[in-house]
Amino acid sequence: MHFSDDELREALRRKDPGEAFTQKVTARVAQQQAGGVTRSSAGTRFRGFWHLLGLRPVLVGTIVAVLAVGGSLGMMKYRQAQEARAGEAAKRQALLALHITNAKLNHVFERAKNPQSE
Amino acid sequence: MEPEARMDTALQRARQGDSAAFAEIVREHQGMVFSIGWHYLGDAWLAEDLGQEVFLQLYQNLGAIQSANHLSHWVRRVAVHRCIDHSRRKYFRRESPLDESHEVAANGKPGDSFLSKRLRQTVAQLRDKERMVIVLRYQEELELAEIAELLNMPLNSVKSTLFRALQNLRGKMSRQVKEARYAFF
Amino acid sequence: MKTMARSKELFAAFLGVLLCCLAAPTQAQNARLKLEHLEKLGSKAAEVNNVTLDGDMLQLAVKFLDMDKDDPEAAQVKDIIKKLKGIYVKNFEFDEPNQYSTADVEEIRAQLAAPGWSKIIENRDKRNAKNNEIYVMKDASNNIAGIAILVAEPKELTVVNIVGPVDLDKLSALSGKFGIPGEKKDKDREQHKKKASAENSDEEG
Repeated sequence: MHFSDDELREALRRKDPGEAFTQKVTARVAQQQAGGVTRSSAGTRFRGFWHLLGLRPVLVGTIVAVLAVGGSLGMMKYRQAQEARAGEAAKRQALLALHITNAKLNHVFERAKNPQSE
Repeated sequence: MEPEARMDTALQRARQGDSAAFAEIVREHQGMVFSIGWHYLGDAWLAEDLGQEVFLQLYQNLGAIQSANHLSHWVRRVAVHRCIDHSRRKYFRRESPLDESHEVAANGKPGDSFLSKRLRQTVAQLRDKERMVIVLRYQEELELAEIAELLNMPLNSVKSTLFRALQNLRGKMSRQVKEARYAFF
Repeated sequence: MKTMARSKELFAAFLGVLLCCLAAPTQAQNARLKLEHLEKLGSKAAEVNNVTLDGDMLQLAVKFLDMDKDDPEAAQVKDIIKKLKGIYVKNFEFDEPNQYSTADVEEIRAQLAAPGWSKIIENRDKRNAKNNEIYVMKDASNNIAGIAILVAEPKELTVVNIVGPVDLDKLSALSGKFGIPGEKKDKDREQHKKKASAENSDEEG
């Protein structure tokens, strides 16, 4: 099948992954930033945090509960995303396997019927 | 404002911690990074993951980027080398024909032609080096000398790799048409 | 005495049933070929397609194919694979001939010589060193319990091993998908082949 350079260029034209991708990147960067801040000023903030703990047990309890729920939801979403990826990969493997099987069966049967076909 | 001047400004602001500026840089280059990954690795999810890694690395190295021009080259280089590294680590070079199911926004036309799809799928079947040369030549429209520099290859090797890649691409496309014509059972 | 004889009969019957139950799954296990020795060819091959899909991953594939409600192809593929136990494909394409040894292929043929396997198609072209074979394994009820396809050509080695009740009619009905047109009559097939070779010689010219 003939194709021109322009057709190949068109086929390989850049595709934008969209705003969702941008958000994911900026979220990861923000996460990394937050991690950096905590590490660099761990000493003073740590003391302050424990003071807060002593004074506001309800607040602390709420924060812990929110983190626990958020963490669980986050884990659930992460697992769902992992399963989605694994599922898509498995599906593609199945399609590839049947594609090859189909092509090879075709190849063998064709040669059996027409030995001079190659 | 000219795109290059806009990027220069965004770069300066991003270096100072402006996250909106960094997001602007990501938006400007994400199409290139994602597409290199997608067309080379044949897996949109992997291309997204890889893309995120590239921009994370960029964020960590903003101080070393001198200009908007340098920024584009840097991002492209990192994307290309990450793709190649990933591909070398895997024995299973091709999981599946290029996954066309990934939703792409912006300039992903819904009426993408059958030929374009077949071409992308066939490019995904080329050998690693050939595939990358094709992507850099036809997606990024780089000169052969630029490709040679990016891939640390002699110019003559790039020329012969490109020639072989196009031959193989044409051969595979012709074979697919031949196979499609044979009846089954 | 009569009770003892009766007990012996019952025990023999029980043993028979037990052996049958053990035999059935063993048949499915025998349909799986050992292909690990081919892994080394990956480094020599220009192109490799390697699929190992069984157990949970196969079920996951079925589940995800089922989710593609609007795709008739996905539905057909799902229908074919839903009862399978495993799909194993090793496809190697080489730039140069003789990159794999006869021993590599004979190791597979030795497994296919085991009881249960029957060769249903073979084409050998000694001149061009091309050997292609299709084997099936049938269970006690004469249903297909597995298939194996072996394509051994100078620049290609492909082994396809499908374990489980493969419906060859449905597999053939996939023609019309993957860019392969539907079944043609012999006459049309011949005309298409002639046209294809004429077009190819034009392209090369």
